[in-house]
Amino acid sequence: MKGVTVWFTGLPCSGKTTLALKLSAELKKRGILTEDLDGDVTRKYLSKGLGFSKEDRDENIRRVGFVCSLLTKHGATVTAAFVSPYRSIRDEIRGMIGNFVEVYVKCSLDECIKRDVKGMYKKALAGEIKNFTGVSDPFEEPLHPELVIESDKESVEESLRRIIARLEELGYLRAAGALAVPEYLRQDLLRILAQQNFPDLNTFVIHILSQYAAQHGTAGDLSQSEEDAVREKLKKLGYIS
Amino acid sequence: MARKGGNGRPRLLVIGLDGVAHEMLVGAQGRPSLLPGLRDAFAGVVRPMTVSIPEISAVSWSSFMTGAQAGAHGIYGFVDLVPGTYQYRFPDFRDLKVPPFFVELGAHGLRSVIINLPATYPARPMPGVLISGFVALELERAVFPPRYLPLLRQAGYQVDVDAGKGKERKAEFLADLHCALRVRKQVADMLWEREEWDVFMFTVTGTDRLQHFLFEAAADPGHEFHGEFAAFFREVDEAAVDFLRRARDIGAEAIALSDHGFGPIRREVYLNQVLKRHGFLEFDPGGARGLPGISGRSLAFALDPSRLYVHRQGRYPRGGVAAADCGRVRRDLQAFFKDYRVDGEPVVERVWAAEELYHGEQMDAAPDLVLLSRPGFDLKGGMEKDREAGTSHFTGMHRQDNAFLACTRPDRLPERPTIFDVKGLMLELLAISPCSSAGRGSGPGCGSPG
Repeated sequence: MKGVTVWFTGLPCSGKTTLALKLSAELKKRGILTEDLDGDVTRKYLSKGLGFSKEDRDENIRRVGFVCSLLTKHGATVTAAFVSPYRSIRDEIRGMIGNFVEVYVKCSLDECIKRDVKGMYKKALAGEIKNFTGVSDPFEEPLHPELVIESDKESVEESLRRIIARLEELGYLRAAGALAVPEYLRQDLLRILAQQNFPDLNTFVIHILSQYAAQHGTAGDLSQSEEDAVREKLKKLGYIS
Repeated sequence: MARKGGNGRPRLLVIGLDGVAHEMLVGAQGRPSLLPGLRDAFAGVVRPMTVSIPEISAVSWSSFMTGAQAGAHGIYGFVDLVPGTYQYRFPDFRDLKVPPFFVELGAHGLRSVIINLPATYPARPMPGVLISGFVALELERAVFPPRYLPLLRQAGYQVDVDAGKGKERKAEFLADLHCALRVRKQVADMLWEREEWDVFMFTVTGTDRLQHFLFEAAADPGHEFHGEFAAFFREVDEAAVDFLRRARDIGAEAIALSDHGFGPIRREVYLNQVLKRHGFLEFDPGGARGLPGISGRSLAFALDPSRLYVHRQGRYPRGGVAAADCGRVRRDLQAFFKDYRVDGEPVVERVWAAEELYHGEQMDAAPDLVLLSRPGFDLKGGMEKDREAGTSHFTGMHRQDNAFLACTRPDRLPERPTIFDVKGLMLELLAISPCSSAGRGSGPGCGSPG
């Protein structure tokens, strides 16, 4: 597996972190080395002291991008959830990282405000928070993101499915269950299988799959109540008498 | 929009309609088609198809999914005996000895979505999605992968309707059939969109259920449920046509088939009573009820629907027929049933010997003889009955010779298809070479009698 950074960008409360964590959980289930980065963590450990001016925001993203580039280079899949409102810095880190998938989490401002349990939008609208993206600071939409998620129109599950499909399409993720066997290993496998009288890999796979019956219990292990239920169903249709 | 299969591979839609006769699809004897949309979608190229013997879903769908006959796949009926006993057991998907097509396709990297296919319970891991059909007991064990379980529950998905209502609460039964079909279609629509599939199979079993209880309603405009009968088939037709249209839009090929045909019942014939009254079967006085009470003097017994077993020494606890005499008993049974009549009419079309129908590693479990009845005579084991023939609330029965097969590539359709041809046809449409043809049905005994 080659490393990749999946970069979620969008307004505050648009659902970036939710999706990033969902994706991360799915990737971990598949046994993929995954690291999650988001603003709360990096601003505490990586960018402490930086504010929310355009310069500071760019610097924050640049530092995060650098960490992503290192992780990606070493084969990890990084999920990064950052408002990252400015197009130029996103494009800069795209170049730095290389294997970069930009996911624009698009959501209407009204919906973001509705979702804002911390009341940040309310404070921004009241002028209590300066440079707040979407209210007093612009969000520059990506021009060519790898994927646009409309988080106010689709479910989290649907969005996750689309992200995974896109990663598969881009070759960063194999379809679940698929296993790429290197050619040199294929030859070794064929030799070993031939010794067991399997002429090819397909025959072997079929053999293994058909053994599932044995591994998952055999027929005849129906409980009495299950047998009674089957008998009843068959009798109702006249299939047994 | 459904996602395309990987690498531009061919894709295939399969529509299974349990128990739909060829005539029902194309119309016959002045009656119009009950599924005109489906017929037209295949440009009228719909062939009659012969199926397994016995012509029941458990055996026939198993042959469909494996391309094999029962001597290889091991499913001879809905019920069997625990070896060496008179105890009934109910074979299920775990008994299937030949990998079904969706497992074989998985070995080629193809994914299948299989919805409501009978004889696939309990569902087990496979490359794609499997929702088992009849005789599924619990939804929890009828779904793979289990992540779809909450969604199916939420949709109100039913593995089957309560067929008990078909006897006396027919209006309710019909409403249940509509409801189950509607939800099944909704679930199928969702899977069509969500899943990346190479083969998508949608099976309707309500067609079979309805005909068992209301077969006569189809042809009789004065029947209380004539309109409802047609309405259910119309809903099936609309569902099938919707899938076929979507398949065409994405460039997928399609086939449609039934696992057996249907016809009206004139008389039910209870084979164990026939055997008993004609000296082939005896019960010990005061012994257990049913088969466990069989006498050592018995020569043969029957299992539903039409399988005859010689009561052999060594195979059954009180079996009295020595190996040297088995051939004679079989010949006697063949001769007897060849001439057997009810109401003065011959009942049996043909008495098949096991070796004419079956071959393969599961032959040890095969019945000695299987009867194929003439139209109108519905054969049953009838162990508990008190007469040789009768009638009941069932009005429709399975037929072996009038199932159907249709394909969007009529040039690939055999002239006289059998259920054993379908798997090969599917693989051909998917440009896959079969891994093995072991156990494939062939010859007159495998669905093409006469």
